Amino acid sequence: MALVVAGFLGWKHFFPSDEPRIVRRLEQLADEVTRSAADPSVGLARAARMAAYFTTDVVIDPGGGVPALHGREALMAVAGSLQPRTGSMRVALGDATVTLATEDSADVTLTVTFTRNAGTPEASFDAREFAVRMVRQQDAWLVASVTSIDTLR
Amino acid sequence: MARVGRLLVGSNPRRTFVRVVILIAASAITFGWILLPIRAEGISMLPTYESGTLHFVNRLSYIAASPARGDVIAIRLAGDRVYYVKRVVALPGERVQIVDGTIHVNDVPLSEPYVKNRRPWNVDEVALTYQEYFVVGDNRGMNAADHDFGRAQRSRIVGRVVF
Repeated sequence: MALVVAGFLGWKHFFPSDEPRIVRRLEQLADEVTRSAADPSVGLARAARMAAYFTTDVVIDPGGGVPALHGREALMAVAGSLQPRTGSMRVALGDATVTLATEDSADVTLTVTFTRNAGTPEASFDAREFAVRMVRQQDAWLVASVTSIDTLR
Repeated sequence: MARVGRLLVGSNPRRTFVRVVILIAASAITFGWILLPIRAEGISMLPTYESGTLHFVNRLSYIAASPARGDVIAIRLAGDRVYYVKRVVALPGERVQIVDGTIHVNDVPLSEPYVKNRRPWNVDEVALTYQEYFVVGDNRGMNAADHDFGRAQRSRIVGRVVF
């Protein structure tokens, strides 16, 4: 019995199903954004690290009247031009729900929290809900689109 | 040692065990399903709720009743871990606008004693549908652009923040 349980857990660990792989991938992206926010390295290096998470034709729609970004190059240009902020920012994911649309695509809804400590006594905190489209390319799950959902309209 | 053991489990260990199980089950039901513990983060509800303080959301508040004006409510985002905590200022079917920091509901200025600081926010009139509530945080001393407020769907309201 113990062998069966160990085998099952081992299988789940080394060969996870797509849902946890997608969530893990998005968590890695959030970690990357968190590190990048505090990383004093040049913007181009930061942009190159993050490019690996997106498809070439990714669409980012931040909502709130802000124009959508089309394409990985445009996204990386924006990311590379951002200056590291004073203090630190932590990006975290929560409440991710993954729905596999096809074998190679999935829809994810999740909440992203942003905690920024700019050296003031009060850390600023923000939470946003997003719909994310993931696609599998060469066995890697990539972000194909991100759309902000207006919880309060 | 035996006295310590007796103090811990009582004279009737079976009864003590049953009590512990009931206590654990009651706590799990209460804090998992009825009174949801939440920790406030951020400054949008100042001065009513300080960042970092612990509060509870009563998930049964709106089973038999609807949210009322002045209620502080929890609003669901993508799931059950993160909520917006806001105050209801306008109800379904009402018209609401903000003029120089004062909320007007159906053209009548709203008295809000819980608001201590006020910046001159201006928001065009919004007509709420019968499934929408207009919610705002108590901290009006911050920039409107940095403050999440607006129409919340009834289906997203989880419950009332009770304390």
